[in-house]
Amino acid sequence: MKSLVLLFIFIIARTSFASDNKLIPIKVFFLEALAPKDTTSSERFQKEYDFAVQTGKDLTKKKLNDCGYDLVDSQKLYDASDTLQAMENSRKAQDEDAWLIVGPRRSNHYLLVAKGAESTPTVSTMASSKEVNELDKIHLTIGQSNESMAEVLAKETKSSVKKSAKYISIVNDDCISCKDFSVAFDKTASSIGLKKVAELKIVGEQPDPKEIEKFYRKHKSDIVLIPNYSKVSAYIIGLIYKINQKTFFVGGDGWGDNKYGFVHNSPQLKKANGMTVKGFPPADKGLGYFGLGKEILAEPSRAAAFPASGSAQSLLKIIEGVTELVCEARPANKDEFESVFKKAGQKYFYNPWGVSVFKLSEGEVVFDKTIRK
Amino acid sequence: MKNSKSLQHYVNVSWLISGCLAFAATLILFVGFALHNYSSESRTAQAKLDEKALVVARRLSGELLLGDRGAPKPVALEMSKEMGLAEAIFDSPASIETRAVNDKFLYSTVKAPFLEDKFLVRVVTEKKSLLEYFNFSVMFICFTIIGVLIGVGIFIQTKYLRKHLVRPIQALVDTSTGEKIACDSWPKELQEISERLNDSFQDREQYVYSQIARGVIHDIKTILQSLKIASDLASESQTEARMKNLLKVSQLKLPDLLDIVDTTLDGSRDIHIKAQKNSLNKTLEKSLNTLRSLPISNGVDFIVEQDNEIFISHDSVQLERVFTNLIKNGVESINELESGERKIHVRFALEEKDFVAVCIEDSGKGLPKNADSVFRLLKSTKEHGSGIGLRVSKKIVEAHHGRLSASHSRNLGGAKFDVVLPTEGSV
Repeated sequence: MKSLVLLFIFIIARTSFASDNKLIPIKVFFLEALAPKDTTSSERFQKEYDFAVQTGKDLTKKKLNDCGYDLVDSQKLYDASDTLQAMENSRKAQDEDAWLIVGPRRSNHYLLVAKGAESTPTVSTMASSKEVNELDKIHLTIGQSNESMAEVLAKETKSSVKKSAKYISIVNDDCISCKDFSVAFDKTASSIGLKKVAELKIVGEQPDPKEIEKFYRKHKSDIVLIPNYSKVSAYIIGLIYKINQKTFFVGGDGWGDNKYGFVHNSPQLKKANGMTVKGFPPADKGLGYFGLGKEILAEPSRAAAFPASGSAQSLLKIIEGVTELVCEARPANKDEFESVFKKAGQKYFYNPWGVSVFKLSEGEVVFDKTIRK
Repeated sequence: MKNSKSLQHYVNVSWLISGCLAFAATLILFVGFALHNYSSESRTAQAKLDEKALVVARRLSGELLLGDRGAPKPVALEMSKEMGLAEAIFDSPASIETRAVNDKFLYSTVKAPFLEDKFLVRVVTEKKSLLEYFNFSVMFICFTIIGVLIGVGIFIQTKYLRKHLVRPIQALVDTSTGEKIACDSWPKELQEISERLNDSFQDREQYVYSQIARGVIHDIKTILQSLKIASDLASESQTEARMKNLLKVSQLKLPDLLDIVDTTLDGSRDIHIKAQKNSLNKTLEKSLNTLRSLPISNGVDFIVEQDNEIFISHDSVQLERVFTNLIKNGVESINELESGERKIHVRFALEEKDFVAVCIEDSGKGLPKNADSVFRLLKSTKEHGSGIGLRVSKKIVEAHHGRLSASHSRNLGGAKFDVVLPTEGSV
């Protein structure tokens, strides 16, 4: 009897060990750009990034293991001002046989990732430029397209201001997504009667203030379109707000929300009003649009702890997509994963959130509504 | 008071010298630092520029790789501004390499990563001149601080010295006039000096008093003894001729007695001159005649050299006293010697129209080493003299705006006195 029990334990243990051995590692390489000059914001972003990845891994671990897979992640956060690192790191990830590269958010960084890892599947958490959507099917994005967001913004702007309103644009020339957003906004705006007066192209995060002030004083208008990232957007809003406090500012998805970004709660923007759009609603609403998010919402303590940013939701959605893809297609190696990703990636890696409208009211970026087609 | 001022002056000067040294040291340091920085930065400037070139090249490569959607030119312009470059350019290797270079600029050319064959990136920066390494504003601030510190130092030290050194020294000067002043707040050394000065003054006062008294009393006693002898002899039965001689002795000695009294009084009071334009030759002649008639002048050879008659405004009575005193001193000094020449040489001449000089030399025993000390009290040329006679003579000459000096006679080996008087004075 005793030897029978020992034999039983040995068989169970061996089976379990064998089962572990069979798990196929899915190498996922997370790549993201940080703005090291703003240490506080970068550190906070990094913590939330890690939290989102870990939560995704925890929630999908069992399902992946059951399917015979194990998600092995590695991470690289680099200086956003050195865009070439996107290409170098993606090439390195590809050389190290990563199955999937996740990130980065910014379109121009992501396009370099796609150049560096031409044969490796990649998913951006937020990239939204025209070129991103035109890439090979091996490169996808969770970000909402600029066309969709700009269309919603133009229409919402039109309904918020007087009929004969005119606008000017101040666009970062070194930001592909920003330029695309501007073009898409212009297209919709012209069709609904919003008249563009002029456009100023700028470069960098702290452009010449005199040039911006001179431009605004010359073309004074009711609305200013600033489809740039949050730091430079807040800087420009601050400059123009000093000249005319009645200006209505409109922007793209780079402004951030009430947890992130420089536009929110900047002391110099206490009374500034405007509107922005994003591909993500706040977490308490956005999590309800996909499976893993719903699981989190089901546990109030976990929901409360989960980061509110769109990036975190996007990371969770990508990990869910990877889990579902491998569990359904059962690729045995990277090549098979690449093949199924190419065929069915869009089914798993898409934006489920539509376009969310946020209002800049008295210096705070506050969620208003979500518009889904 | 004079001492106090000069002490403050030296303190101020020492502060100013310290300040100048501090200024100079600061200046040397600034020049040294500037030269050092110029030298070291010149060496590292190229390396720093190469580092910047790599950063720019990476950023531009990122833009160039995006093809039409990249913005390499605006980015190059922005990076030039951010990095303080004169220029950041990118072009084909052939184009970059044929561009002209200028000696006033530093260049760094690197290959654009991932686009090595297509693009080179060149960054250019201006070479800094030596002057740019001089931080004039910091130098100005340092100089201002040093200036303020010196000013404050002088102010504090002056106040401190005034309280603890200048005032005590002023008080010590007062103390030397006989008033006993001391304060507990003085430095210990100054209190000791004060006490010693006070004691020394009292001792000297007593000594001076006794010496003067001795000298005057000795002269008076000599005359009184002569008068007593004459008086005693006169009280006995004498011939008429003998009585006349005794009376003559009294007539001769009594003016001497009055002269001693006058001189003693003159030594302690201001001399009042009653000047009239008279012949100085005659004044001198009167003195000589008086002295020639005295018995002490027996055997003394008076040699007188004089120019034409000179008229100047002077008090003939007072100057006669001076000449008489000087010549008489000479005669008495000659009499003290047992042997040797017995000569008095009086030279009298006009000097450069404005002054008249009277030089009296003798072949007597001479003067002490420091000849001018004979004008001080108690430094008489005679064994029992008080020194009042020469002191009064000097006062009389100075009252005529002239000067009286003593020296050693080279010609006769004794004393030499020079009386210089202005021909046109405000006497």
